[in-house]
Parts: sequence; C-alpha cells; structure tokens
Amino acid sequence: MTRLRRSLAVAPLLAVTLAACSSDSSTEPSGPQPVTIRFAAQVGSQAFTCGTTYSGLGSPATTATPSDFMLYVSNVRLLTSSGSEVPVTLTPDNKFQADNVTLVDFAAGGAGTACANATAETNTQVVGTVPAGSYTGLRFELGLPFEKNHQDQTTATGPYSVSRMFWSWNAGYKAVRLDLNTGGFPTGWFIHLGSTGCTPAGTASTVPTACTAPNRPTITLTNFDVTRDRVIADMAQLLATSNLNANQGGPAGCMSGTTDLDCPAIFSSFGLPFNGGSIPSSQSFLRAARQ
Amino acid sequence: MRQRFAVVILLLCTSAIGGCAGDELFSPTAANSRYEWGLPTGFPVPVVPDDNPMTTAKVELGRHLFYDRRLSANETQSCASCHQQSRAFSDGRVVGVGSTGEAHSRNSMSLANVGYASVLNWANPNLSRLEQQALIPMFGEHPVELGMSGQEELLLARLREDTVYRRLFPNAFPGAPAPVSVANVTKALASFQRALVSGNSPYDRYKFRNEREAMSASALRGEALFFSEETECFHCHAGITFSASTKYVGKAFVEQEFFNNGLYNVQGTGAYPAPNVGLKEFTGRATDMGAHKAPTLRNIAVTAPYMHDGSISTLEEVLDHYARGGRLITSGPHAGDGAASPFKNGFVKGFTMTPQDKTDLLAFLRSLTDSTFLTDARLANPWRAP
Repeated sequence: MTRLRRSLAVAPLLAVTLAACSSDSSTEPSGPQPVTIRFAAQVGSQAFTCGTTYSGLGSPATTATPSDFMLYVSNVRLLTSSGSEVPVTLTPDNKFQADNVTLVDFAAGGAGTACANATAETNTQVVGTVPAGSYTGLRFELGLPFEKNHQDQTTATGPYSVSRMFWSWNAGYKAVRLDLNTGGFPTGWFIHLGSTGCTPAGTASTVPTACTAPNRPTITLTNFDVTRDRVIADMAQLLATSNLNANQGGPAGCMSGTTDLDCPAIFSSFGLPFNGGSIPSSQSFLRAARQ
Repeated sequence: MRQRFAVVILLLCTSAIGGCAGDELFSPTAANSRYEWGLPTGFPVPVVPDDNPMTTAKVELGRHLFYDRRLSANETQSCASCHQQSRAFSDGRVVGVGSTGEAHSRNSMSLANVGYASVLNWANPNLSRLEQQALIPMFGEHPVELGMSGQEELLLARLREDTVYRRLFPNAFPGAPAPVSVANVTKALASFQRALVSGNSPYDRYKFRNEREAMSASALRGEALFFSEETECFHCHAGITFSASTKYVGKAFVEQEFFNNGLYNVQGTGAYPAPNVGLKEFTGRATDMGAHKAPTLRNIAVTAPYMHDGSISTLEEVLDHYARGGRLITSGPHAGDGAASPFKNGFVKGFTMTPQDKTDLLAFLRSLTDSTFLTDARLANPWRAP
C-alpha cells in the first residue's frame, strides 16, 4: 500500500519530466530519471482481489477463486519511438527488487484471510531509473533470467526468497503462479509457469546448465506511456480458452509439463509455444491500460 | 518524560547488547560475547530477535533449563521429557503426555532447526517467537504439561537456590539486577533451541559438500521423486528445513503456510476430530479446517509416529497415505474418506507409487537423518555425569 502511494506521488512528476524532455530535447536533463512501471491485476474489467469468486471464466464458463497470484518481471526496457531498447536500472529494496528482477505480487493473504498461505504483502510496481528521454513502449520478460533461475533457493534472499515461487522439481523458480479453486476443482486448479527440459536432470541438488523450454515469455507493449499507463495482468484473458473444470493430464491445471494437456491453452495466452509447437503470434495475458 | 527517555536508552542497549557490552553498564566477558553458530555448510543464519541476542552463556543456561525437571511443578518432567535428543527432540509417543499424566491432543514436534521455523506448534499463526512459545509447556493448563501455572515464585525460588544457576543466570544476563526471572528463563530456553541446528545428514553432505558417495542411487531417485510434479511433496516441504514455514536472515518474506492433507473427512463433512481442527481454531474460517503446518522432514526417520495427532505409525504408511491422496477411515466415529475432503490441499492429489518408488522415497527420507545431531554432546543433558 505504501509502495502504491509512493508510485502515485511519483507519477505526476514523471509526466512533467518526460513531457518536458520530449517537447524540447535541447533542455533534456542529464543523468538518470526515476521511473515507476505500475502493474495491476484484473479479471476482465473487474479488479482482482485474492479470495474473491469470479464467474464466467474459461471455456466452458465456470467460476474460479484465486488463492495466490505472483509473477517475476525481469530485464525491463523502455522502447523509444524508433523501437530501440533502453534498460531500466532497478532500485534494489532488499525485498521485491534485486539485480534486474522484480517480484510482482497481486495477492494479499495470510492466516485469517481467504488466501491463508499467500504472503501478506503485495507489490504492483517496478521502480528504477532510465536516461531522460521520450519513451513509447515497454518490454520485459516474465520469469527470472537463467543465471538467477537456478540458484540455491533454500538460502536465497530478497525477491528470490519467497518459497511459493520455488519450483524445485526443476531446480528453478516459477515465472508465474496463479492458484485457483474452480467450479470443477474446488481444491485447486493451478497455473505454474516455469522452465522445463532442464539438464542435467533437475533435482534440488543438481543445478541445470540449460533448459530446452525456458518458458520465459518476452512481453512487448508497443503503445505504453509509462507516465500514464498500467500493465494489466488479466486473469480472465489468461484463462479464456482453458477448461477449468477438466484435468487433461498431470496435476489439475497447467504446471508446464510437456505432457500436461491443460497447458496448450495457457501457453497460448502467454504467447509461448507448447512442447515444440508453433509460436503464437501474440500473447493475451498482459496489456496496457490508461488509468 | 525523563523516565521515558531512560527507558528508551535501556531498550536501545538491550536491543544491541553487543554494542553496550563495552561500556559501564556491562562488563565485557567471554560469556556475553556473540554466539558462534558453527553453521553447517550452505546453511543460512537463523533469525534472532533483537531483544534476545544469542550468547554462549545464554545457550548454556538454556541447556540446563531444558533438561531440568524442576521446571515442572511436581519435578517429574523437563522439556526433554517430550523432546529427546535421540529422537531429534521428539518423544516417540502418539501424543505428548504431561507431568500430571494428562495426554496432549497432539504429537510432540521435533525441535531440529526450530530456529528456522517461521511459525511454531502445529497450527498457531500467532506464535512465531520461541520465547513466547516456551510459556505454553510451562504454564499451559489445557492440557497441563509442566504444570507451572500460578507457580512462578516456586519455579524462581528453586532456580535461585541452585548453585549452578547462581553462576549461569548472571553469566547469561550480565548486569541484570535480578537475573532469575520468568522472562529470562524463556530467553535462555529460546536461545538453546535456536542452537539446535541439524545439517550434517547424508543429504547435506551430498548437496552442500559435494560428497557424492553420501547418498545411494536409490536415495537420489527418491529425491527426484520427492521434487517431482508427480508426488508434489516439495510444495509443502520446501526450503532448508523441508517445511514451507521457514525463515532465516536475508529471507525477505514472512511465509507461514498451513495445509489440510486429507487425514480426515469425518462423515463426509470435511471435519477433523476436535480439538485438532487446525488453523480453523484460530481463524474461525470453515475452509481452514484441518490445515496444519508441514513439519520439518529433517530426521523424520527417527520421529515416528507421524502427523499432528500421531495417527500414522510408520514412514511407509505416510507414503501410502500421500499416494492415495488422503486416508480412508471405514468405521468408527471418524469414518470418512480424507481423499474426498472439500478442504484438502490441491497438491495432495495422490500418485502412482511402485514398490521401487516407495523404496527410493524412503531412502531419500532416511538420508535426512543427521546422526551427529542425535548424539552431539553439546546438546545433551548437562546434569548427567559424563
């Protein structure tokens, strides 16, 4: 909540700074400028709240109640009108941000809430600096960079230390975690996106050197005004073509396995190829919205 | 106003006792020097509250108190009665039995690596400080454990008249005008428990010290199964302690997790037998029925019987329980199919387990036994003649 307030305070300042830059490049201030990239979770047009039951989700339409929703954002870049990438240098906070990684956590939880096992704190922003300039787009990856994805989770710090994002079966982390209780699976239908095909075969004590399916989608929002827009993570869009009342292999939901047939629909929403298939032309999970 | 200022100064001093050790308030001695953890390779540093820094003297005092039967009103039991070193500080009973013979409703938990636990006991989200937890076995009345309720003065008088404690308390709390207090008893007990670090199992030697021969091929296959999306064990038994409710220095998030593992579904209602309703006891939320903390799996082979109520006798049966995705009780007052519980955690989904899989999983679980911890003389009863 305090982070959100801080972002709202920073946003108008940025609008002034960046607008001034774009209107007269000769007065462009030198040095890095603060930037805040705001995220929000929605379910279609509704705001996302952990533990709320939403209807009309998936195909066929059913109900789903989220019990946790987190994702990693890494390697954030702003895009200029000519399409060149300018990396955002993150401001580390020993908690949600370190290196070029931000943990975005939409789910407020804790014992006594409907999301008992989710962490109490939330974070819906990426905070850093960029060179002054005019920016029209945004690009980042979902998930941790490979070199951070296979560290020892048991002693990790900062954004890497939330065990709910550990994905120990491949000695890595989840890129996205969305846990649901659905009409057909009241005890759980899960989306855990992460790298597969990692070798040597992953266990907690074997560190992979490569993964055939990184499952680390690159998200590009070409029309994104960082001073006015938010990145909307839309649960309804992510689930749009999934049958939430079915389990088509493996655990209920998509845990990224190549034989888990709940995954093709989910991977398509992430813009990811499934099990060596074709690459979808676009992703539908994230979009820019002015608000 | 001036008084409040003095209090603030005092608090500052106690919260940074190392910083104050050199000034006139406390004389610097070896006893109140910072504790040397001697942590196993790869282990993070346990979190220590600012108001109770670890010192060698406090750990030593805590050890004496932990093994002292005078902590029970009738002098028949100590903490160690239910937390025996040879069983990784558990007791081998189905449920704990207190000093007056009263049975607890729950199984005595292992204290191995309890300093890394972000939440204590089986399902109490409000209990995260060992100092506070120590009050429960000493003073609790439902059930009676050590039976000291209302007997604080008796307890303190016993401790004050002991020549050993006359040395240990002032050493542990230098400069304190009245070092023998209930608060200091809990601080010392907490310090000793934080010193109960177990990290020398074959698994640790394999993982952190690259001793490739430490684990058998079967145990390594079991490890892969444990961390697989087939069994899903690791979702609840995560982290350095194999419990999702873990904390350590540098961990940025408080995580306390509770799970219903399909042990009961009384008459198909999802209910657990009272009073062990798990997290629901504290939150009142129907969906928290039966949700308990996933206990550490370190030394799990020596901490039978299992589950919050000790209702599963062997590790083999625990594996059968999870492979089935819940327990079927066919008759009696608790009859019902836990696998069909509406409150069961989604990761307890059941899996196919071949006899070889079972052998491998057992080998992995047994590789978590740290035999040096079970026999470490520094953690043993100090009152016994060597």
